Amino acid sequence: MGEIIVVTSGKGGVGKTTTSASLACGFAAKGKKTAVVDFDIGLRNLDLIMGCERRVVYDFVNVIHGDCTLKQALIRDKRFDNLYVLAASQTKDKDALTQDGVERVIDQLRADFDIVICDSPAGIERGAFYAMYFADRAVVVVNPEVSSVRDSDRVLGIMSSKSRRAEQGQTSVKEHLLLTRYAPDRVEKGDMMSVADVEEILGVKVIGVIPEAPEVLSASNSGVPVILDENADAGQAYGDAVARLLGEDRPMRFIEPKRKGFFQRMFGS
Amino acid sequence: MAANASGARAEPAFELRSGQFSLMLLSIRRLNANELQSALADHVAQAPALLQGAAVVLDLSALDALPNFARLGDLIARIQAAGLRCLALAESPGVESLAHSVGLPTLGVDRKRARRDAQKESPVAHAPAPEPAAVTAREPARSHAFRDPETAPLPLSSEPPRTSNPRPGPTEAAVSQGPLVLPGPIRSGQQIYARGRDLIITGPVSAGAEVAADGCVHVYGRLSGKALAGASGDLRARVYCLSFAAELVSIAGNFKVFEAASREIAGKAVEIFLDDGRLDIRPLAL
Repeated sequence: MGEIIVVTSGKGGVGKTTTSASLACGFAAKGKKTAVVDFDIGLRNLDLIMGCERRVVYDFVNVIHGDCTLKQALIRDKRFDNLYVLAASQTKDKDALTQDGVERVIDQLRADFDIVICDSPAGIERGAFYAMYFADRAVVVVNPEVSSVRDSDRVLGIMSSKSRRAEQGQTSVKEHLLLTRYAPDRVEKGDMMSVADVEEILGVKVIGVIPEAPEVLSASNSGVPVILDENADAGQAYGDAVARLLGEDRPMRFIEPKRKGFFQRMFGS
Repeated sequence: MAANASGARAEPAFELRSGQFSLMLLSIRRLNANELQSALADHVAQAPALLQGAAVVLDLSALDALPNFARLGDLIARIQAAGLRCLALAESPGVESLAHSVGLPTLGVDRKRARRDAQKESPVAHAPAPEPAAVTAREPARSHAFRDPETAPLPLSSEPPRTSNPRPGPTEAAVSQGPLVLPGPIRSGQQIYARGRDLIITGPVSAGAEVAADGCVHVYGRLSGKALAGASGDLRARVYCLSFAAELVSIAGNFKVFEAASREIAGKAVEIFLDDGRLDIRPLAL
């Protein structure tokens, strides 16, 4: 039986899809048979970040409607043969998601995969609701700023009360925070909320801190999840997060400002 | 009929399905036909849009003795004359044959519920009436309001949602049920209401969350949202929290908004109570 992990946030543009793609690659690299599902029906993006946009034939909504089998719709990643992508439909809207339909697909994925990552759309409407409804675990992506934190609080509240686990009285959805776009030097200056601030407000432990870095954007644009860039801090930080999600104990990195070396101080950078 | 027959479609000429309707129950307390007719006519005249021609179910269960056939016929005629239409008799012992005699059906009533509704409404709805009239009209057995899964508040608690206007009357005397205890955190967007009792949150209350109780509100954590104690008007209700950062605190409708809490109370454990109609906030010496 696989585990369902939702990547969600409430607020848009905080890095849900980037995170979903990187976590999926990370789990696959650790030998887990992984599927990543785009719940953003009508605004499909995950396939771009994963670099498989030219190979989408069938999508999530086709599977729900029975136009094709799940197997036909799953796109195998070119880098990891134990990693599959289920793309969202670009032509439909979120009303195409039905509880029965989503449940059927999720149950089937749970039977076939070790890890199923549900990439939630922004908001708290239908798409986001179904992305988190069946989850066992949640990675809530937060930027260190007040509006993102408040939206995450809202999403955590909805999850703790309206997920299937909550409705059926099972143990609650396991919650983790993933802090993205973190700029340690700005935190030090007091311009940005710190890891401790966010943890205190939300009352949930941080599973990873991804530093703000130009590599993240260029990785997205080239369809190569940033976790595969081993030279990038952001890539290594995602690697740490995956290891922690699998139960490893790793110290937090990239949360202190970088001290500039002698030459950098002399010649600027 | 003729039009239907000429249409001659494959569809059957009728469809039979169950429907649920909300009907008013007319409870007769005294069998004084004259008094009844004039009181009813007055009542209808007060709210003609709502009551003129309205269908009612006649409830005779409050009477000591059932009327005979003739008196019942007279009663129904008088109700009609007052502007209401009598549709059926409410089921109660001995009514079946009586209803048959006047050609009306009997309808089952959830009496427990009807009584509960009546009690709930009575202090507010009936207080302004100058004299207890010979009749009361009320709505029995309403179906549950539909709760949208996206917006339905109070998912954590088994309590019904807090209405936006807390009832003005005094608290229904119900202390015996004990406090409503919930683990925190209560998150942004969640609403908790402990009806007729105290509310205890063993954790923080986030900004944008609302916790309310007819009794006291205790927050064993940081209170960053809104807290409303004495929501039904109990002036003695108080709010307690371990770390004060509330957006709003209200006691029995006396509220204060905190754009920025003053230094003496911000982040402190405090007690909030009404002192002569004014909200008083005092740090607790812990």
